[in-house]
Amino acid sequence: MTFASPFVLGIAAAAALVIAGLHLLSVRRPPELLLPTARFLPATEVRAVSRTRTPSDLLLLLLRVGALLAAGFALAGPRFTTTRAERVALVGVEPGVLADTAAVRRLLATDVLTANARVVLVAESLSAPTGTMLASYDAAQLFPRAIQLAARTVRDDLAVDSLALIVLRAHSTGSDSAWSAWRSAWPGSVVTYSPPADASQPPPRRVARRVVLVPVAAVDGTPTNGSPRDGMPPDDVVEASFRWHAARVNHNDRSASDTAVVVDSIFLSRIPSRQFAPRDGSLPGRVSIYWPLDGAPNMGAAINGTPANGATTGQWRGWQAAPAGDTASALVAGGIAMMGGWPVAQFGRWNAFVDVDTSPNTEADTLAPRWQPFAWWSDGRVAAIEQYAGKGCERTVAVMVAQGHDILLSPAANGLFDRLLAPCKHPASVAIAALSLRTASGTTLAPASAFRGGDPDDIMGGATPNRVVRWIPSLLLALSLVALVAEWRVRRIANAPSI
Amino acid sequence: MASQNDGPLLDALRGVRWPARRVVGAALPGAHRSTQRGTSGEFTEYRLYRQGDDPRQLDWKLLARSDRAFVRLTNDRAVVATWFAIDASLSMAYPDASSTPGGALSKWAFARAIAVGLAAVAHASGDPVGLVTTGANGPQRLSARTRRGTVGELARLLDAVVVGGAHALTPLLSAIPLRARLVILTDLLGDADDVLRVAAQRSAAGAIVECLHVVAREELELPVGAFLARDPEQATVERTMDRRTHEAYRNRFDAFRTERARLWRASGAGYAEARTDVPATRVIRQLIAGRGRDVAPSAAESFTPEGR
Repeated sequence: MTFASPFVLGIAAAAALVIAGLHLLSVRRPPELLLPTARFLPATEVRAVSRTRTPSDLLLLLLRVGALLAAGFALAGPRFTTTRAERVALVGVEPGVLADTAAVRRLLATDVLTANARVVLVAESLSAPTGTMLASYDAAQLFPRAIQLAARTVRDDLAVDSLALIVLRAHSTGSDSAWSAWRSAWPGSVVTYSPPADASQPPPRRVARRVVLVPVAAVDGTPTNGSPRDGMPPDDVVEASFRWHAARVNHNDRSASDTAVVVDSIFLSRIPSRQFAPRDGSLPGRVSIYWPLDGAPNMGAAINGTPANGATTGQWRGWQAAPAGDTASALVAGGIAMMGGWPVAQFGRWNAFVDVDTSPNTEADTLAPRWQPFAWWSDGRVAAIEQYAGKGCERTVAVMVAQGHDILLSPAANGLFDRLLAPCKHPASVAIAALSLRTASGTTLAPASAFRGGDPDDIMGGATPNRVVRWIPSLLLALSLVALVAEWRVRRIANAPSI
Repeated sequence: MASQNDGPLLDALRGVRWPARRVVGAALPGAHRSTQRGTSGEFTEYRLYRQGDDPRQLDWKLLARSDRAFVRLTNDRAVVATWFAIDASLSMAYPDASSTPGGALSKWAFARAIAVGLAAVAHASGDPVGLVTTGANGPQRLSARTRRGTVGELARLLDAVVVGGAHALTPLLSAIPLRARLVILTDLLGDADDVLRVAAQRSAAGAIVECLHVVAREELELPVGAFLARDPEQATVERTMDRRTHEAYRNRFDAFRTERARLWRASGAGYAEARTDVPATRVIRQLIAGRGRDVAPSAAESFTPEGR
């Protein structure tokens, strides 16, 4: 146990000693003695100092000393710590990294700073906002969440001595300027794991692949009015971007072997969401892309509870309306972020995806859920998913792009279209085993004391001990007050004139 | 009869005689030298016969041998009434036996023992013995008597006295005959000046006055510790008493006793200090022997009642 202001306790102890001394050196009338020759004594002050070896009013002494010590103890700011030191590794996992606690623990087992540390995933420990399962690409969101989690961790667990922040990044490119700015907010080193520079590239194939884009009105290719293009908007920027990127992909595949060529048809549907009918299955190996014009795919369903005013109550699965005015700074897919110089409003982010099925996977470092996201907004919300239906797959993109905008033709969109044009079950995420230690800003862990002592709700502040310990100073002050009242009462009774 | 507690005291004083310090006036034949020349058998001198002399005092044998008429002169012996005036004010009750370790004898009890002893001695010589005192139950007086049982009566009267109050002793002295031997037992803390004045007047008139100044040992050796000393007869007098004031107290008290002794002796009265840590028998014997002024306790003496 330590004290924030130990001198206050020292002052209280000194005052208690003075009180005890005054009790032993009480000034009072000495006992009376009848002496006929008292007239021969010199006339002096009737009151005399009577030194007693034992306190005369032991109860009063105890109450006074107790009140002083209790008040001093409370005002000194006691802090209760334990001798058992524990390290906690706060792990922030960017979208696109296939990670679970066990995999992260295996990764960190060899880390010098975080070995034998308790692993806490940042996103799992927080009440994640809608659509957020993992941490964010955005440092402005990741670091505050990590600091908030650190404050709560040291508040709830007094044994925590130090904390480490580990970020598992899904891509190795991009600017680190935001990270550098936010690293100063973390009072310790920040360890970053990231994949190699070529990790996002698809593995070499023995068979060359040709992509053919087939615009359709319905995902399953069934013409509604005789023509597959019926219902598709004319001069669609998305369709044009698909064609451009398909040509790019086909051009890049020429470097592969030409002994065999596989032609994959990519079916693209751009009809409004209200007219889209979900299908039960797809053709084997068929890739269907549903990219509604308004960026609002078919709505999801509430498992428990009913969505109200765009907010989710209970468990919700599927797409739902994003809060009004919600924006994001970038769209990340394939390890490439589309950002910088483009107005955020270009990405109409009206929908999000929640409650991704993250059931345990029996295959290590792979992920085979019913839903697999492959594009995320910079705050971690899902922007595009791949759904397995039968032997084929169906990809849904919840991104609205203004007509005439050419952001999808920029190189920053290569990551997104590489994923959209890839075969089914093409790995969209980086396996944690592929990550390696990239940077470590400093070699010291963040001390737990840096997160204590402030308002627990303050995102940048520290934490106080648990609720019982937090009330101890108040209880001591109340005890001191009670002792003072009792002392006054006892003194009043003792000094009452006897009849 | 005196009380049984007085038995050892009276036994110790058996056979002791207490002659008057000066010749006494004419009185019934007794043990004390008288100013009268009379017919006692103790020859003093011859004197030529003068007309008017009692012919029975002529020494006929000397007249026959020398043909000159001489009368035989003898010193007369007379009794003298002995009165005890005992101070029974509240200050004489000090120290309180119940509140004193070892049950120290109070000044009153000590004065009573001395009075009973002296009365027994005087009564044994045929002197009338009388008593005046005043306490909480009012003035008490026992007329001077010589009959048997007077000492016991005196002792019982003293036992009946309730010590208390702050009554003056002087008014009681006016009722005592001038020619009587007056023994005053007091601590001189009350109307000491008035008593001294009366005693001086009586001494000047030829009376025998003895003053026994009763001093308690506890007044000479103050208890250790801090106390608030209060005069039992004067509630306004209260002083702080601790180790620092002991010396000043002793100096003042010694000066007081010395001054009182000087004044009393200057008045012609006898003065003796009777300390309660001195056996009463010793005080009595030395008072009778005329050495009362130097009575001091010996190292071997104790306070046991049997030793008094």
